[in-house]
Amino acid sequence: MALFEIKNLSFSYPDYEDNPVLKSVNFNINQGEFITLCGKSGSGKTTLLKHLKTVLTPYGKRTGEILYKGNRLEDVDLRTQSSEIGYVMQNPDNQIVTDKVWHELAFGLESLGTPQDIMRLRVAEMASYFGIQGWFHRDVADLSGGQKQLLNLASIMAMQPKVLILDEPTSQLDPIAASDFLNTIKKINRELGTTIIITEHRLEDILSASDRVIVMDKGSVVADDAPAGIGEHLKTISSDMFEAMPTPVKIYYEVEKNGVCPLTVRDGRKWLSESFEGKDIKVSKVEEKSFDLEEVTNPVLHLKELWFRYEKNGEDILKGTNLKVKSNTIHTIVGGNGTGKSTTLKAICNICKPYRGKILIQGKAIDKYKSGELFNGMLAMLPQNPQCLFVKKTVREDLLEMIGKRDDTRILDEVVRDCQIESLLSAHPFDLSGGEQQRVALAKVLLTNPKILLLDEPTKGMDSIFKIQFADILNRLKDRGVTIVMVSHDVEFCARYADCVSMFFDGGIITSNTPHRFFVENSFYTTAANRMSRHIFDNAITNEDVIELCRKNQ
Amino acid sequence: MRFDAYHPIINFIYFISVIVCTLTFDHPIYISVAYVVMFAYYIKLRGVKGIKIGFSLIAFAIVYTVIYASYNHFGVTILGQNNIGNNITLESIVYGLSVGIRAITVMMTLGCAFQIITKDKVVYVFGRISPKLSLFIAILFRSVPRVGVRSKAIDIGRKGIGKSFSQGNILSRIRNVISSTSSVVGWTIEDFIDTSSSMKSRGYSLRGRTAYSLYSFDNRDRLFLIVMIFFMVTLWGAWALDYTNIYYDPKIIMPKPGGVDVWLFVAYAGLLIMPLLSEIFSEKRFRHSLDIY
Repeated sequence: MALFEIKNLSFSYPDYEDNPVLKSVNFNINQGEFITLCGKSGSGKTTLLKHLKTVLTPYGKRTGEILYKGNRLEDVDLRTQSSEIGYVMQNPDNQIVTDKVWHELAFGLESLGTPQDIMRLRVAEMASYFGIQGWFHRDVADLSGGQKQLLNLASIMAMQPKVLILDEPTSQLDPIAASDFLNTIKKINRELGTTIIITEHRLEDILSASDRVIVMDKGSVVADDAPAGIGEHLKTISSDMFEAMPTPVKIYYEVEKNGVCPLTVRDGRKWLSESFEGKDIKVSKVEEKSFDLEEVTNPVLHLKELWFRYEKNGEDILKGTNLKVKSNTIHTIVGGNGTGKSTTLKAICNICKPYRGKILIQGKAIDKYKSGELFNGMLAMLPQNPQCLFVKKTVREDLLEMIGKRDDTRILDEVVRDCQIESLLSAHPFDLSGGEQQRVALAKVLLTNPKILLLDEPTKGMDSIFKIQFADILNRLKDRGVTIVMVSHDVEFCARYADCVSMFFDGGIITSNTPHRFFVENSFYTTAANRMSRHIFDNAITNEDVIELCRKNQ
Repeated sequence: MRFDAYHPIINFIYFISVIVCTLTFDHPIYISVAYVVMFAYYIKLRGVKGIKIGFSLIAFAIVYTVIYASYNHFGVTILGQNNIGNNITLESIVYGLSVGIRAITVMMTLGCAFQIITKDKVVYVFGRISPKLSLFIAILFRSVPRVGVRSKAIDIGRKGIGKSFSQGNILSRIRNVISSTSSVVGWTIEDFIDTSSSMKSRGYSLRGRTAYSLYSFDNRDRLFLIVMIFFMVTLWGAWALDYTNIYYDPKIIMPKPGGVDVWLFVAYAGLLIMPLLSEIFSEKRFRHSLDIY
């Protein structure tokens, strides 16, 4: 039986009635299915998901209907909806209501008025299933992002839902935590038979586990297919959502097709081996852009043996960090969580003061700069959370804060055009999507006209299409002489756009190299394209590399 | 092993009764008993730091006595006159000291209570009164510290573009503080919208809420409660019959303690020392249990 039947659903927000968010959406969701919903930011995914639970449904003009187990959703009472329809949102922090892990796990059951003995059993069961026993008594404030999101999931699973709706649950997590989280989702679907409806950017991890993929564009469903066929479908309608497909799928459709479309790296390797079986590999290398780091004589930014700790008796976070950044490049720093990457950025812009070591900016020690000088036309940092920067009611006012009294709107217009935020100027900054906020924050930072731009995980929460636009912005800045230092978990992004990649570990930079040389050396910490092709090609790290080499060897 | 292993209700009854008794009983021996026992327990819980704080509190009691005696002039035993011609009396000094010592006893008791009564226990006890109330408290425990975290994040973020409250001239600093504050408020409200939909989504508004309890009331709690009630009934009887208080005004009148008094002192000491003894015994028993292996 169909769990949800969505019939001809259209929706528009009040005052925007000629611009509907959902346009006659039709599909069914069956019990036990795993459904991946994808689409660009602003394609109506979240709005659609919110319609699947009455208390979350936004206010506006709506036509069509949604049936839950054959009844109109509005007629299903609140108690049933609360327990049977679980909803996990994007931001791990904001969903947590109480101060303690145990209390959060029990929250839903408390609302349902569950008696003490049953509640204890359910909580115990969930804590054990999700491996929460170890931090059962902890304050939620002490948890990592991944743990918080797992807690949100567990506290919903405690109510034994029939269907789990997840709205970009991993967008705020680092890649390792994200893939752990998605594996848990797959496990829930496989072992408990819970229906899953998920929107996600990280398709690499879940596409192979999905039963169906539904693609949305501008409020309508443009594709609804099994994962193996979705690439073909998107390719034929030449949707830009094709860009969001996992690496193996993109490579498969770009080269001459034979065999079945691979969805995972494992299948991709197999598919590549099969296509090149018995053939000579004539060209196994792509051309590399290269520059020698040793030869960087006049670095725009030079860190010399920085040592830093937050507390007098605490541990050292930076342990002799050295770094040279060549001017006019995009330099990325990758590495695990909590290794000190963000602290390095803070040290560069004088928020953290190292107790030993030197920071030279354009050859001049940082403490020789006057306080006004440094942040006016020299340095600027985009924090991990762009919301930190927003202080005004509209984007325009927020940007004007940066140029102050100077009536120089020319520079403002230029930055606005560069960051492609013309259409957002009158919106409230908090109403924007994650990627939009990131661009507005970037615009704000750029108004200080920095020569060195520091970015802390800028691609977090961005979808693949946004990432391309973002990279365009960065490249344009680079052409204009800005040096960009960026801390990131996003291996794919670094491989594709960086000029130099450094690995951060245990308080210091272990190695710096060009992306090609850097990623080819690694077997785990590398791109999907490289993992997929390393047994055949020598130095392919991006999809384009693999595609190019495949074509040359046809 | 500590007193916090007991049920929250026991913890609450104990600390409340200690504070109430300390504040009501003004008989010097009762005051001394409470002071000595609570100081000992405070040291047990806080260690060396407890000794330091405990002794500096004595200074507080003395200062209080001096101030009290120079503003209150009741009593018949005049010791002298201060420089504006008011009498300094023995009674007011003694009474001031009795209040001072009781005050620092209460402070140390609260110090002990903060060690023993965790946020979880507060949430539990309020949950017994009303689940909604306890949830409200839990939400406060979560959201209040988050405001601080947020404002710190905002300041660091704005430092990176030269707009922190510690950058620029005075005028722009003031402007930056105002902007940051409004940003903290806006962000907090924005986040709370998310939180409230997460609450609604998990059935917050349903009727008949219950409260999860981490604790169970076991035999050890029962025994502790019975002994505690026994001592408490005795002491309140004594209070009703005026054994626990003396006269300070106009003259200190303290009857010579008889056999009943001695028993009552023991009962009071017994009530106060229960957690300390329980801790010492269970630590001993634990060490003993290790010896077996």
